[in-house]
Amino acid sequence: MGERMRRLWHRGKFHSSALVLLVPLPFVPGQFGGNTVFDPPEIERTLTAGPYTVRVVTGDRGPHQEPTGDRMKDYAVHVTAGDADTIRAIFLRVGKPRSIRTLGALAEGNPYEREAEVVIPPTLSGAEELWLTVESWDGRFHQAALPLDQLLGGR
Amino acid sequence: MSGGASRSRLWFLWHSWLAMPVWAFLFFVCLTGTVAVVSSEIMWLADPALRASADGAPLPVSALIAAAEAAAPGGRAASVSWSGAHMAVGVGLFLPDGTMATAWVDPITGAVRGMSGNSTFRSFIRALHGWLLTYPTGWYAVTALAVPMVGSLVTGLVVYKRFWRAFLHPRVRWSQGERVMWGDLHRLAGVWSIWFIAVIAVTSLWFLVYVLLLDLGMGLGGRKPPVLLARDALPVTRTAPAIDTDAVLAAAVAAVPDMRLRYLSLPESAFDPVLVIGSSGQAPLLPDYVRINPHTAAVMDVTGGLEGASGIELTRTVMRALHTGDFGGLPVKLVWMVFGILLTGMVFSGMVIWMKRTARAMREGRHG
Repeated sequence: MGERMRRLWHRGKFHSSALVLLVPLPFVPGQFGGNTVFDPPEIERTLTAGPYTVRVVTGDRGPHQEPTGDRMKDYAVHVTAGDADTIRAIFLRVGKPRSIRTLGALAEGNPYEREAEVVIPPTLSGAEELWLTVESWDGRFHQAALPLDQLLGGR
Repeated sequence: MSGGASRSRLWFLWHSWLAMPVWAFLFFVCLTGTVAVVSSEIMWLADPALRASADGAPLPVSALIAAAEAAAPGGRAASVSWSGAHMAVGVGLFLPDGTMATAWVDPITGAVRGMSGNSTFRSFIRALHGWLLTYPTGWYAVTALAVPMVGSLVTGLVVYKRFWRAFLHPRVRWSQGERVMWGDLHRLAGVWSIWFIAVIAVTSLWFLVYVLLLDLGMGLGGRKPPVLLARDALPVTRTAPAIDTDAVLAAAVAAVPDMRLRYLSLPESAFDPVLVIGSSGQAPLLPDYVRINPHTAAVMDVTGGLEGASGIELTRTVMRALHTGDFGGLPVKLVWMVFGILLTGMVFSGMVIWMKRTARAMREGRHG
């Protein structure tokens, strides 16, 4: 048996880089819009800001570090079909925005599922809040907040 | 053994060993890359839905977008891409469930010919070739192959004495055994592919360096601040104002004369302009980017082409175009495909030669 394995290795070792071709396999479902086996489970919370009720979804995994040193976390904001056309923009920020110039990360992309990359402060006390601002096309702002703890993930 | 002989033997050893341990992976990357060059054309061949109908006056883009949105309940157009007169226009759609789809619309009749899901064959084969479907791990694995490729080219040119003679006196010995035949084919393909291997190796090396610098947080510079619409400039309405895509496109075409349209990207947020990408006749390697206010159709910014782009942007654009062969229409793509096949074949023939030589050496070693 050992001899056979040795001969197999001897003959096959120079073809072993073909094993790299196994790497893409677990990611094939992701390419077609599904989840890959490495995707963390999702956590989600429903928030109501004025007339709008949205679902905020994120992976259950801590913030990632950008090359610049910032800690960031990705959020998806799901909007119901009826609301998509009256919402001008959605912003997410850790901490209450002080003015409309500091609303935070703009959620972009699919109007039904907008994605935002939010800066997470380097140190957290545990009392921080995630603030959501919905700006409607009529120029009004609607806000909601919930403890960041509930949507931080990774614990 | 003289110094010269042992040195050339060392070069030869390097040439033999550089790609051999990774040959199967390299073969796969060369093969998928070759397919990726003509992936649009393969889709066109495989799926009649993607073919444009007979000649006629093309419909305005707004009609194509309307047809695509009507074909997918709740769908909102995200982009329009043109791949040449023979191909149906692809309208990217955002769907209410958060996914994307592409509607293939006949530019003449406005009929939706077909619908593909999140990923087309083209995007799949590009992702498989470029990053094994997993970024950045796969990206590094693939681009690292540039190192053995550059090495194989350089050592190959040193080992193959007076290789330029092969241009005038090509020689393939078909009947002197397989090893000799594969060796001759390897050398012949190599000599004719010197320029192509150099292009692919250097551009791949660039892809490695580029992402390495990004990951190390070294800004490459040259990035302009984004062009955005001011909040004060947005219309105040009850629902999102409709975008007059025809007026937007007309403004873009007027801003860059002789532009061949490639792509129109609709705003991903209320503050984004519409982006129109096209190539003008003078600089096919360098696309023009025109940003237009979706509500007024005023041109906000024109970059690209020969002027405007910074050194690093220019390098990035040129490197990508050279790597993919996507800068001169179908003829260039076909040249890239042919040489891609040759390169894939060289990886394979290199392995065959190595195995046959090793097999012989082992036999002789055992008996002698």
